[in-house]
Amino acid sequence: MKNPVKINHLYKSYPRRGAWFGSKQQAKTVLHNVTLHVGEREIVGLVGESGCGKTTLAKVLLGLESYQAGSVKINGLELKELSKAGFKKLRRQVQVVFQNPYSSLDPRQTVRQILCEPWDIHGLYKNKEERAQKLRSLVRCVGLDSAHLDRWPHEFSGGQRQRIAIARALALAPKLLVADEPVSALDVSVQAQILNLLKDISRTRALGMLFVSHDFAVARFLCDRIAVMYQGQILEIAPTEQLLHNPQHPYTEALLSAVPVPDPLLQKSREPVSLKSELIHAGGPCPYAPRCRYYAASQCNREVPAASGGEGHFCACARLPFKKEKSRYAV
Amino acid sequence: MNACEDTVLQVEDLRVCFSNEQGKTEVLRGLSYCLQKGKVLAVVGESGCGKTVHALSLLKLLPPGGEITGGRILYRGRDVLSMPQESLRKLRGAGMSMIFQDPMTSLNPIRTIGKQIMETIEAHSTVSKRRAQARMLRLLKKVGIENPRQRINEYPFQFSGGQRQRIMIAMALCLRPTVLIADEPTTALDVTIQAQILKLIKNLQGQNGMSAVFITHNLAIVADIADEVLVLYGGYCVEQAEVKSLFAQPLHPYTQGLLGSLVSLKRKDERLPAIEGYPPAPGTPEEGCPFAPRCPHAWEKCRAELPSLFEKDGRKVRCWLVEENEKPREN
Repeated sequence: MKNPVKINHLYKSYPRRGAWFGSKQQAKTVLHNVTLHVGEREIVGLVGESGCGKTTLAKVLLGLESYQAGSVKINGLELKELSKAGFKKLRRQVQVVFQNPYSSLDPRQTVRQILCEPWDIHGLYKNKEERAQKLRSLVRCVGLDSAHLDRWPHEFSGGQRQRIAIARALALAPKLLVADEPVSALDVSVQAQILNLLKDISRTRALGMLFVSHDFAVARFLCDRIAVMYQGQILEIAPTEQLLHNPQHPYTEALLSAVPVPDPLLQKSREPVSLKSELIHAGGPCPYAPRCRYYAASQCNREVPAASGGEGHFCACARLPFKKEKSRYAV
Repeated sequence: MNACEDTVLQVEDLRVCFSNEQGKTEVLRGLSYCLQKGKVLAVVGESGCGKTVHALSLLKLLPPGGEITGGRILYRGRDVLSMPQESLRKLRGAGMSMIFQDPMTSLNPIRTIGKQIMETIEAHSTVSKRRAQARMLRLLKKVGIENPRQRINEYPFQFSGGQRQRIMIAMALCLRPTVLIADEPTTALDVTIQAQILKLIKNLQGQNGMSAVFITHNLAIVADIADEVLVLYGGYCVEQAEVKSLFAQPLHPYTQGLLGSLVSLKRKDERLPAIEGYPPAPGTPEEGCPFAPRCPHAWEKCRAELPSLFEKDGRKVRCWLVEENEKPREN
């Protein structure tokens, strides 16, 4: 199968709470017409600001959130239609690493218990020797030591905990890993170790990955393709280098310009694009229109193009023709 | 220490201890620096290196159990540590103000944000209520809070994490302090907002001659805003230099590792040269250089004896390697 993950025209909304005496209020749309495919062994980055819906999309993919319309298919199976048993089977193929390793590991389980639990649930070993052997190789693969197995999570530093969380996710040999900001809670020097580890395992284990991040630099290191999300919509998708060298959407440009670079001479000469206003939910077809510096009423009220899920460069902007020349905010 | 005329803040050999049932642990082991008017000093380090403790001790705000055991803090020549409560109260906010790291717990949940900011202004200055309010609204607008006139009547829970952080920033800036102490002020914020905040701080620095102690782990922000950088590791200052020379030629192996392990937006890395191992837990009793266990160049002397802060071309570095290289060769 070429694309194990196919998300097509996905819509999700939450009912607004606190409606006054049952008077109808509009539901809050958090995912709007999202189409995203993840290929086999492909790492797709999902980049956006907080509250743009990237974690919600990751949760939908894990079956932790429902959706109203559209389809989410993993290996051809529509998530909505799966039975409980079907879901359990699917869990072996899709695993997750969460952002904060301080809260994602059970403090009352030893590392051994944490790592063996998935195998126990799915009955994936014949005898204790086999389990012990699997455990040894798993622990080695994430750079931990067998001596660590009988310790508790609180005895480890953040970086080591994230290694444990990654080991737990890899225990079932999944085909897809959903990584929700796995390095943003870590120290800089440790972040590099974990990023290297994620890159290595994605290669050696033929993993596909949906990598959720707010950091373009991290996404560039790891991802084959990057999708830029804004208010529940994907505004631009392209192969990583193409996106950074030739950003098309005004929002991508603005985001890129705001990322500081660790070079004092270069950084002091950069001027971030100032966004017009804060997030205001727009009624129009383009969610970015109220903040866009190229906004023109005549053109921006047209329907914006929607992504097709193909491999190429997609940009959800109704106004701008595809630019050939390099943006001054390109990397 | 040679204090020049424009020095607004001078710290000499600052030492901080935390005590619990197990005994005392020294978390800050002798920190010295001078902050000039209109300059920004960045204090960089990983979690547990003592950077937050240092910020809190500047205003004598250490939590119970923490104690300043040595050194001096001079604000415009006045000793902060021996100040009576009343002058200390006046100093906090107006002279030196602080942006705390955690926006969730630093605002009073049962008072509107307008009241909280007004309280700060009225406690310290004699401006009329109208002018105070105008100043508050202007600042809230500048930190990117839309519709400030309505929103000042709202409570902290009605704001998002990022907005609360920005309210904290507005509150810290509303008295136009001489020295701003910012403890990871933009960590919870999106890059676009972060860029706005950094710009605002830079403007205040230029217009009012505000100085700042900027505590962060993000080296890209350091490159953007700092004039001078102080690198902390394990409670020690391991390197201190002017920002351009530090990035151009880091002397300490830890600084080198830190800069090397950064993911960059500007280049595509195949692998990141990560620093092996993990940062030491605070107060780890150790002989020799705190970085020796992770240092690729460490030899016996590094493990046995703590290097002194060695001065070279106006920069300071705590490393035997640098010191030995500088020594005149004995024949």
